[in-house]
Amino acid sequence: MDSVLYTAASGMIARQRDLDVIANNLANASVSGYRPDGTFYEIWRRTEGNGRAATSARETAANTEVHVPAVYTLDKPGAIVATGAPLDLAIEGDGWFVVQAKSGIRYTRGGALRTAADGTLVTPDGSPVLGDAGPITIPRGQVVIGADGRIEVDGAAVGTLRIAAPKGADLLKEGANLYRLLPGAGEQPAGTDVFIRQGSLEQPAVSPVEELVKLVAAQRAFEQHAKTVSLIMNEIDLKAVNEIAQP
Amino acid sequence: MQRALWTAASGMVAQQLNVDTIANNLANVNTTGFKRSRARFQDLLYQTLRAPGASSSQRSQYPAGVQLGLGTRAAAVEKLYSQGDFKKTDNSLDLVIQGDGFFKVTLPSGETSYTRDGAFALSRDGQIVNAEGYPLEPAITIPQGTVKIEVGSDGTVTAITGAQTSGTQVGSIELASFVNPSGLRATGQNLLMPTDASGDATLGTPGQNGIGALGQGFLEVSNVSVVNELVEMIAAQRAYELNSRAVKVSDDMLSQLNALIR
Repeated sequence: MDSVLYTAASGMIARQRDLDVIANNLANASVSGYRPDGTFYEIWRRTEGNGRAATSARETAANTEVHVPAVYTLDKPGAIVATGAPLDLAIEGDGWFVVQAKSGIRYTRGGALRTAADGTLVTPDGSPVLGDAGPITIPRGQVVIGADGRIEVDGAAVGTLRIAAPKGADLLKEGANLYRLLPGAGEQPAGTDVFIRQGSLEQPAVSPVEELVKLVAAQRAFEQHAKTVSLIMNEIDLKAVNEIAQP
Repeated sequence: MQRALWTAASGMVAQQLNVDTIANNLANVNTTGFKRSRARFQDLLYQTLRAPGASSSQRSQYPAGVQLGLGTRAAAVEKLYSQGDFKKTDNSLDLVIQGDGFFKVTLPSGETSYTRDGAFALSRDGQIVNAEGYPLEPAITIPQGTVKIEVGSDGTVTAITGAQTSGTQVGSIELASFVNPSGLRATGQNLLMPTDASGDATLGTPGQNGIGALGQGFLEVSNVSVVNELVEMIAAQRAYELNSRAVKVSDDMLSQLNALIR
């Protein structure tokens, strides 16, 4: 069979994967602290059965496949927007909130926090947000959170938020706005250039323009590949079978 | 089938919920004691097609895996208890709470419900009741012949009859507060019910232990900011549009696939 068919098909599959990633970025365009994903491309060269390299440009092109070997998460923060709610926290700089999820320690940039019935500081789905000495209990009163993460209620210190700085490449998305560390990776405490902003939230870092451009690019590239497949299957191969093979 | 189709659909559903929440906030822009709600979203599960760290050759690994997100979902619609503005009414039974706290009213079922709406009135028996006629708790009755009612910042209610100058104390208003007021369940009619998430009510005297003091002759207007809601609405509308674009592209790709074979 014509190997260009496989080249085009690999391109179509890669573009569908692209679309999956773009659609997820757009779907999460309202998730505080969400970081968009992007796709890596990789070109694979098929070698013929005897392992010889291609001898012409045409052969090279025909023996090429496109693959998506990796989806990466953009290591860029979203804009910080004031909301006025006392437990809306944004992190300025490279730092993450540490969350005690059911399945272990997790990290998040989504700072729309609240208190549970017993006063524990939790994420929207109820997982405790950790301080330097474990979960933080916030009594009733005026909550003031300093840029260094120190929490004071009516002037009395109740704890300090634990802000970690794991490397972006060591984090894996888990859903529910949480990230977990890759096995073997460690968490360092955040540097001194990381500040907590009370009464603010980090917007998702999704750029609608960028996503739309990628969407159109994926769509058009898919169309081109589809045309190629259609041309080979319906024009060239069909002609070959029906006309050249005529007795 | 295309993952993107469902992913984008989840985004559209989320934005619908967002607009629903914003519309309810705007509808209640003139509701006394109303607190605006906000929808919070989270990303859904990720499907791992290739784990990060998989070998790309004998000596190297892919720096990242292939994880495809499957969309978004609403994590919570929470009420934000920031203070609303005060509106002067000069009505002696219009009360505001300057800070944390809720009025308690007794429902016809005997249960206690909580509200920030301080527009009270008198029943025909002289009892202080809310707009629905539910009595304030603990019940306070104003004696007949009262010409002036005074409510102190600590909640003491004094009735002054025509002949008196100092008046007699007829009761005091108690307020309730919650560790997590966002966990209260709104039941309509400006009323809120406690839940497991809000915790139990802590009762107290107005102006003490972090509970707000009372102000007489004022009402707390809703804390909805029309400008903010409109901005949120525009953002939600555009996000909805973007997601519908992804649905369209996904559909186009599928139809092109179908058209491949003639």
